[in-house]
Amino acid sequence: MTQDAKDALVLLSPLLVLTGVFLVFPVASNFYYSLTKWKGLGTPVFIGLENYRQLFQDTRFYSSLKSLGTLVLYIPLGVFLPLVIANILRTGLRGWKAYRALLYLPNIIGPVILGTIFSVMLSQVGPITEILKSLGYANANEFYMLGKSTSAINTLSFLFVVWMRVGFGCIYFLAAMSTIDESLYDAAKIDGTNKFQDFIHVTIPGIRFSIEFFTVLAFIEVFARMYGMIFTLTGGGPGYATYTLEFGVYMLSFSAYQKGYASAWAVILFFFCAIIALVQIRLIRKGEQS
Amino acid sequence: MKKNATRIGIILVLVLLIAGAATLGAQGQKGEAEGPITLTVWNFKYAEEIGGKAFREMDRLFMEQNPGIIIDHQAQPESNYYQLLISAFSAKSDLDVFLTHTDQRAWGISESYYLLDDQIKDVMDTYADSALEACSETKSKDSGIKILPLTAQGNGFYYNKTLLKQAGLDPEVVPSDWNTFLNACEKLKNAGITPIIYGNQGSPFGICFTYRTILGTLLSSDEIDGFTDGSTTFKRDEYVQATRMIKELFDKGYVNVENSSIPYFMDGITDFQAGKGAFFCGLNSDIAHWKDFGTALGYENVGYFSAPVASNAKYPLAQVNQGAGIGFAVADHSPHKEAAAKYVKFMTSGEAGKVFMDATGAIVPNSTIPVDASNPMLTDILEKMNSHATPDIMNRVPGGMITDYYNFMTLYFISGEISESRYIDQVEAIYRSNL
Repeated sequence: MTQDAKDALVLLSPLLVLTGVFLVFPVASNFYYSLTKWKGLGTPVFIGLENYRQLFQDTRFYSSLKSLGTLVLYIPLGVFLPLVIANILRTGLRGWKAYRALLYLPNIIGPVILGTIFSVMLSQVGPITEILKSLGYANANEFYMLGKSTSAINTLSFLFVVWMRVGFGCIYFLAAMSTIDESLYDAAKIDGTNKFQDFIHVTIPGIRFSIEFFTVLAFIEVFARMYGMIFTLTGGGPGYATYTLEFGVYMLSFSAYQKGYASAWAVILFFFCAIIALVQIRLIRKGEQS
Repeated sequence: MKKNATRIGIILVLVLLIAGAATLGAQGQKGEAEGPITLTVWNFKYAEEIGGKAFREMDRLFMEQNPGIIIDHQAQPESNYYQLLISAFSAKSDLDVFLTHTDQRAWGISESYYLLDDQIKDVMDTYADSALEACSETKSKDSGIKILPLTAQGNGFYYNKTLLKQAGLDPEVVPSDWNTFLNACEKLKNAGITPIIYGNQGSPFGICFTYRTILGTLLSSDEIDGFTDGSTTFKRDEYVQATRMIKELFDKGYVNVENSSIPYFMDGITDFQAGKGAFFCGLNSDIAHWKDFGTALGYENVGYFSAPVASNAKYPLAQVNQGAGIGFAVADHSPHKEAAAKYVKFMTSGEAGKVFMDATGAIVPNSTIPVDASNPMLTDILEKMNSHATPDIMNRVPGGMITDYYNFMTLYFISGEISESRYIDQVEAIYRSNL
């Protein structure tokens, strides 16, 4: 080993130790615990693949996949909407800085608070019901978005995947758009393009990498960062309508004392996240090459 | 230059190691320090205004009588209390005493609860037998005691006599018979009064508590006990009947429309206190009880019955009685078990228990605490709890099923998205998968 390599190893060792202790070890242990029956206390009992057999027969697991499927379907809208708004803002809009601040607000508040706020807003005694009542809908409190499976998962999807991410998306895309050479727009103008054509033929190709990256981020958020909002907005219900893999891991681990079984869920989630990470790495490399 | 980099690196690693070791050392020495003992107490009710005040007074009394012990009473959130407890047990962190329920949430992790049998021999006979059974890992009043009961607990129906009168009903006729109950609901509805107040947001306690009371009249004690080990099933006719009875209340429009948007704690309770509905399935102790409603509506205006009783009910007088609702336990890893046991005994009896009872209206099941016999409603409830006690189904089913069970209650009763048979099948499946 060269002296440079030794130096590098020594300097990296604190980080390597921390990564090993707080990342590699927990992930590896999770794989082991997924093969055990364990409630978080006492000694885990090795049961082989029994947890996986149970998982593939569990209604909750398939409901989680279904919920994730619905959430994923909202990603195109969650990407497209901020892209369009960013484009409008880029091309100039009076008072756009105020709009930008307003759009970014959901990102500052965070999913837990938003979930709580919307659970009140959308409740049968919330302001929306009251407004509808004042407009003459006597049975407005029967219009309960979070009370039915289909409307609950769609409400959650819209709020988390679209509405909550609009602000961040706008800022992100605006920053990306600022890197496009203005001469490209000038050239397009000479060719007689309108604003829509500029958007399709200049803006989108110009920030393609950013769009792809933002899409991957949306997938990560959907698979691994939704717990806070689900817990506060719907609690996974009604039934299992808004269950996701991540939410299931929490519920099984901390509510049902089935940490071994929850670890099996976490392993499946790990593979989903690993695929997303691989796509992300590939995109980054592609971006660097281009 | 390279040597310097190596040195800096080594120093960085050493600093990290030393800092870590120092932290661990400091933690290790904490329990061995001499001087007064500090007991760390966790409590999910400590942040409550009335309860917290009572606990502080109880602690003051204890420390006054035990100068060598300092109480560090800490409020913890109830929503993820048991997750926090598991973490504390696993990490063997500073925790000596903790408030706990006596249901499956506790028994699921009871290997970390200290066995109190030897420490409480001298006071064993002061606790009610039913309370000790609820606090025993073996369900025996003589052994396996891991919790000392702070409250006796059960469910029952409170009703607002003033509203019944307004609807043209005789408030002195107890509407506990199912048909009488339905008739009263119908008259109340026709008079523009909400018959039943439920709070079902988040956890549908309104529905769940009603189930408990009705099932108490339909199933025997042994049959309810059978939910502990899977020998009783949710597919039994009695469970189906209870389901249909509750569904009828929804279908006929007797339940407050906004029930799924208001939580039982505290909105449902305050709505009943404010006279917004005539019936409320409440608790016997802790909260949502005789004192809460008597104080708000006037004791003379509040009635109580154990359950709506179907005509075919085999146990029409049954009063759901958990034996104990909440109690104090000692962590098995506590280095101060003796002092902790002393504290737990103190808090659940005598002077301290009286402070808690007087402040909160809780029924403390200990003979050293005289119960206020001048209150007829309390006397009535106590008589029912003592003479016609039957176990609470939710104290028998596995704790792990509760969240999913509640989700499907919502889906069937409130969303109305699934059929009765699918609901029953699903509840049974959830139950079996958690056994």
